Order: sequence, then structure tokens, then C-alpha cells
Amino acid sequence: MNQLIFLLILGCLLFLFSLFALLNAPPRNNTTPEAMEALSKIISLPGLDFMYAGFLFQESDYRWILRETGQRSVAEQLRRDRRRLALSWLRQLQTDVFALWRFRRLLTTYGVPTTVREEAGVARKAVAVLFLLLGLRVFVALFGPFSFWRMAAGIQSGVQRFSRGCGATLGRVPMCKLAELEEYWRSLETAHVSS
Amino acid sequence: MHLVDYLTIYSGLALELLLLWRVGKARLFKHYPFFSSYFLYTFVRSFVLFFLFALHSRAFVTIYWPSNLIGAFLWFAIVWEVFRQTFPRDSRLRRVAAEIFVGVLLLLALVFYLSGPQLVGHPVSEFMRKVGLSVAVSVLTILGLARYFRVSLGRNLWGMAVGILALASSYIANFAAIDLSPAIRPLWSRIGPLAFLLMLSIWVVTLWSYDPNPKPVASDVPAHEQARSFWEKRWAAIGTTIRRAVKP
Repeated sequence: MNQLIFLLILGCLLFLFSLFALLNAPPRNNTTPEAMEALSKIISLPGLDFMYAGFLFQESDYRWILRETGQRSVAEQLRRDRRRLALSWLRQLQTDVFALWRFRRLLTTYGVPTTVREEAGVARKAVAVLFLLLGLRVFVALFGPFSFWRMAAGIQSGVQRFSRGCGATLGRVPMCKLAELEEYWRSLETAHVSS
Repeated sequence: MHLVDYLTIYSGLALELLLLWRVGKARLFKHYPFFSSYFLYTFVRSFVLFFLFALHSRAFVTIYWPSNLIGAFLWFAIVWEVFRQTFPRDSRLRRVAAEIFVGVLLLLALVFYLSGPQLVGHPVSEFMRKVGLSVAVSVLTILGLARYFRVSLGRNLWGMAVGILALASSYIANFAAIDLSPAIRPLWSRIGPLAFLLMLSIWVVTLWSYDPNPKPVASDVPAHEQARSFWEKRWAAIGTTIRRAVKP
């Protein structure tokens, strides 16, 4: 009897655990490492690759200077510098989004199989990320970077997801065509910069 | 039969058909052969039982429980699939993980042995509880090992593991409750099929497309070789220096 009661409780607990585990399912990953490697080889994304963006939005050293030295002018100088750097990084991230979006459109032009729904989804994501980036830039310019690190991290992961989407689409291009595509992309980018 | 029973039967068949379509389209038969063998067995069994039931055949009662016991035994095929994909043959962790995994199963066998030979309740219930408990412990061990060794699971493997864990744990609770009191049997007899539906739903969502475990970043072999040869040269130089110091 005791054994049965124990098993009943154990079974219920394990069932609840499996339901809880469902909530922590890994996200869908439709990109291959090869496609992401090819993408990073073709497009340079300095804003997205910058690993220390989080530091730009942290105020610990600003607080430390205020608390330990009491020199407000130095702390304010640090805040201004951080704001300038954060704005510069956000501009770079915006450039990356535009480059990714151009590249994604190039893939469609190049004949990668896609659907209208997928194209609309890409455009919607790009516009949403750019809109959020613009908003964040305005906020950082007005109020400084220190209150917006969560928002910046969210937008950065949004751009990462966007680049993974591009990687997934690039994965549909045959490997033998990649060199040709890379050359075509470079020529277009050179024309884009010179214009 | 109630409306709920009909809904359970038809939604189960629909989910199985949907999963069969996705498994075929994403070529999961090739990637997950052990999982596919269990799924194909379940698929064929469900449709055979459905037609026997629809034809009011006596064979339905004859084959229902034996085929259910075989199906429960085939849960181990999914456990093996999860293990072999989480710790593949070329993984350095495979040996350690296998030893721990076998150790846990031996411990569980010891618990079953120490609990004595007498049956608690019906033999079928006893078998189902023990198989369910073994499968649940196996899946939890694999998930625990993967977490401990920081092995990332892909969406497919995660779905397989969580789906079978939900079904096995519901069977443990279900068959314990049925033997505890016959009065609550009608209520608990619905839990098993509903848990099966839940497992199928989890599998349909997580096995919609091929999503394997992320590959770990390959180690830099040339750099390792360079470091090793550097270390060997230094080690040889230390030997020479010591010999010179001892015998000047």
C-alpha cells in the first residue's frame, strides 16, 4: 500500500516536472554552423560582433567614481564618453541590420527559394529592429546609456536572431555557388558605398 | 463510450498521422532510427486496434494488453536514442556517461530486487509501473548528465525525452492509483490515453523539422599539437639541466 502511494506521488511529481520542462524547451534552430560561418565570411558585422557592448551600459564604475572619489566632474565626463560610445555602437548595429537586410534581399534576387510570407516576415523583423534601435538611440542621447542596458541586450539578441534567419536562408544556397555570391555581394557593396 | 473517449481516439489518430507526415518529410527515420521504430510500432498498433474496435472484433481484447506491454518495453528504444544522440560514439564523454548510466540502472534493479518478489496489485500494473519507473529514471539520468557536462540538447532530442518522460510518469501514477482503489479506476483510466495525446502533441511540435543537438566547437588541434611539442622540449631540457646539476 505504502509503495503504491509513494509511486502515485512520484508519478505525479515527475509528470509535473515534465510539464515544467516543456516551458524550458530549447529554441528552434534552423541554421547550420556552416551557413553561419559562410555568412560571417561574406558580411562583416562589427556591431554585432562587438562583445563588450554590455559594459557601455553599466554604471558600476560611474557609481564607484562618485562614491570613492567624490569627483562629480570626472564621473560626468565618463557618462558623456559612455553615451558617445554607446551611440556609436548603436549606429554600427543599425548599419549591420541594413547590411543584413540588403544581403537577404540579394539572396531572394539570386534565386534562393522563398515565399511571400517569409519575405514579409523578414521585412517586418527588420523594420521592428530598426524602429527599436532608433528609439533606443533617442533615449540614450537624451538620458544617457545607464538605464537602458536591458533594452540594448534585447535589441542585440533581436539582431542576432535576424542574422540567424539570414544564415538559414544562406544555407539553401549550394556550397559551390557561395564564392560567386560573395564576389557579387562585394561588388554591390562597393557600388553602395561609392554612391 | 463517452464523447471524450471518441475525441481521444480520433485526435490520437490525427496526431499520429500528422507526426508520420512530419517524420517522413523531415527524414527523421534516417536520423533517429530507434525513435522511428517505436513510433512506427505505435502507429501500426493504433490503426490495427482502431479497425478491430470498429469491427467489434474479439481480437481487440486479445491483442490490446500484449501489444501495450510490447509498446511499453519499446520505450527503451527512445531512451537509447536520446542517449546515443546526446553522447555520440565520437564523444569523449560517452564512456563516462555510459558508466554512470549503467550504474544508475543497476541501482534501480537492486531496489526492485530488495522490494521483494511479491506482486503489489495486478501483474500488468506491476510491470507497467516498473517499466515506467525505469524509463523515467533513465531519461532523468541522461538529462542530468547532459546538464552536468554542459551538453546542449537540440529541440528534437528535448521533445523526445520530455514526451516519453510525461508518458512514463503518467503510467507510474496511473497504474499505482488503479491498484490503490478500484473505485477510482474509471477516472484514472482516462489519464493514460490523455498522457499519450500529450506526448504525441509534444513530439509533433518539437519534431516538426530536423533540429539536431548543436555541435560543440571543434578544438584547435594544431594549437594543441604545438603546445604539446613545446612542453615536451621544455621537459627534455629540464631533464638535461638536472643531470648536469647532479653530475657537473
